[in-house]
Parts: sequence; structure tokens; C-alpha cells
Amino acid sequence: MKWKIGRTTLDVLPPVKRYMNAIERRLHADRQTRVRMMTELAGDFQSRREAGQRDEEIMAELGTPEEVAAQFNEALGSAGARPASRWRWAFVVLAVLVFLLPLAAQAFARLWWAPEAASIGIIGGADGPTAIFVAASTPAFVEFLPWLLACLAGFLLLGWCRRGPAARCRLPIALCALGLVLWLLRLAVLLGLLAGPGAPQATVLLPLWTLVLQYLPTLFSSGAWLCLAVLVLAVREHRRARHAADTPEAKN
Amino acid sequence: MPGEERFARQLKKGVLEMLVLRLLAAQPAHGYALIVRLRAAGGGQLDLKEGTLYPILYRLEEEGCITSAWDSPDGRAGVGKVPRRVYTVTDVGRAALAQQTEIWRQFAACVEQVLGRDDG
Repeated sequence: MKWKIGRTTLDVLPPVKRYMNAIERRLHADRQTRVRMMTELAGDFQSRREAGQRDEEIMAELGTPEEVAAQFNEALGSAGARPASRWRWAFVVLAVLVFLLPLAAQAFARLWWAPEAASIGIIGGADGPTAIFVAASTPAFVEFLPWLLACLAGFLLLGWCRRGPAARCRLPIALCALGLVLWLLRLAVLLGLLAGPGAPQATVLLPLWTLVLQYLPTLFSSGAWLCLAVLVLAVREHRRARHAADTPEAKN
Repeated sequence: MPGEERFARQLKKGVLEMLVLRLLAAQPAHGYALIVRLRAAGGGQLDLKEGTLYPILYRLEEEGCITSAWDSPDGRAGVGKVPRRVYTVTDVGRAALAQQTEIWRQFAACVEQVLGRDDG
């Protein structure tokens, strides 16, 4: 069985590959350091083989993958770092669902109704402020962008961010902030349209604050709430990682 | 005895950097060779695992005390061949070693003096 580590390929038996992979999974270091550690560990493994030791003896002498990784992590001062969470994949599933469900619904609608039916329905209902609301609506992709940004941020936060310095948390924070800004921009566009050409109709049919209240539920449907939730988690993780890096144990 | 083990482990932890520098000053080596040489010199007292040694080497390299290079020119190797990273002590490392050795001798002399007192 071939084991590829960095730019090196090594012939190993499946138990050794499993052992090495288990160590690598538990290391709390950036990719470059991980590859270097694993290459050196592979070099040592080879040296021990050349010295006449069997693979089983070598693995027993090195310790369990948990022990080996814990030694590295402790010596690197990253014992406080947390391993990547499997829950990050839930964000991938959610992103796929968010992306696919509207497409599936659209395909379903086209299958059962005439293509023009949907647009007639919209036009029929688009009178007064509703027309403005429809006019203010953005393309479907932009509408779901906060969902996708939040999912990407959540995925990074539970994996990539945990394996590196605290500064990595800034990326999910920026992604979530972008998602929230997009949601607020849509609200601003709506208010702008109501204050402009749609003002007379809007004030007759519905007060402004009622329309704003009607927009608020889109906080949930557009995924902006998820941006907010992940943003809070990312800020907390950033603080925690910075605090952990500032402790004397981490510095030593 | 857990207490004795902890005491020995802490003593070892305190002098490991100095010992690694000393061995590398005598002869450049890769990680496993250092482990073997420490084991041979320590009579069981200085047994070390990879998980402890490599972070020390990385830290010494960061501080400029040692440099390292793959034993193959581009760090690449064919199937079944693993490149080894060979560590060499620098001038900064030699100066640090001299300083640490001096501190260690003074410290050991102090400890010996206290331990040798009759009023104990």
C-alpha cells in the first residue's frame, strides 16, 4: 500500500498507514508543520526498520497515535487547541440543501405548470407596495448567498480555524459580516424604493414600519440568522484562541 | 513511583535543549540518530520519543540555534525512500550551548553544595 506524505511516497502495510493517518489527524498544527512532522516520523520509522525492528515493535515503542500526537501537541504548546469537529460537515450538507432545494422546486414547478404561470402569478399579485417589494427582490443566488456564506464560515470555523493561529478566525468573521451586510443592503434597497417612487402607494396601503416588520422574517429565510450565529461563535473562538496563545504554557 | 518519575521527567525537560545542542555540535544528525545517541549516552535516563524531540528541534531552528536540510537535494525521494532532515548547529547555537553549559555547571555546583551540607 502506498502512503503519500508531502512529496514522498512510501510503501507501507495497511496497519502502518492507518497508524500514521491516525497520528496526523490528531495533530493540532498548520499543514506545513504537519507534513514536516509526518515526513520526519516516516523517516524515523524507516530508520527503525533498517535497524531491524518490525513494524509492530516500532508502533508499540512509539506509542498509540493518541499518545504520539499528544506529545507533539503538548511540546508545540497547542495542547489547548481543539481537533476539527465532525459537525463541520453538517454545514456542507446544509449548503448543498440550500443550493439544491430551490433548483428542485423550480424544476418541479416547470414540470407541473406552464413556464409562464409563475410569472403571471407574480405580476397578478404585484400591485402597490408588493410591486415595490418584488422590484426590490434580488436574483435567487444573491438571496441565498447569506446561507452559503454562513455555511462556508461554519465549516472553516469547526475545522481549518482550529488547526491554526487565532488569526484564522478572521475569515469566517468576515464571511458572516458580508452575509449580514447583504441582508441589510436588501433592506436598504427596499426602504430606498419605498421612500422614492413607491412612497405614495406605500403610505396609503401599508405604513413603512409594517413593511419593515414584514421584511424581518427574511432574517430567517435568507440565512442571515445563521450568519449572525456563526459570527458570534467565530468571535468567541477568536478570543479563546488568542487567550490560549497568550498563556505562559503556550509561549514556553 | 510517580513522584520520582515526575522529578526525573522535569529534570530531563530542563536540560534537553542543551543536550541536543551538545550532540549536534559534535556531529550533525537527523532525529532518529539523536534519539539513539541520547539513549546510548543516558543509560535509560535520557530515553526520548519523537513527539518530544522534534518540537525541540523546531524551536531551536526557529531561534536560529540550528539549521536543517533534507539529505536528498530537493527533499524528494522515490517509492520506499524517505528523506531525512539533517540538523546542524549554527554559531548562534554554539554560543547558546556555551552559555547554557556554564549556567548548568554553576547550578549543579550549587545543588551539590546544598545537598552535601551536614545540617541538611
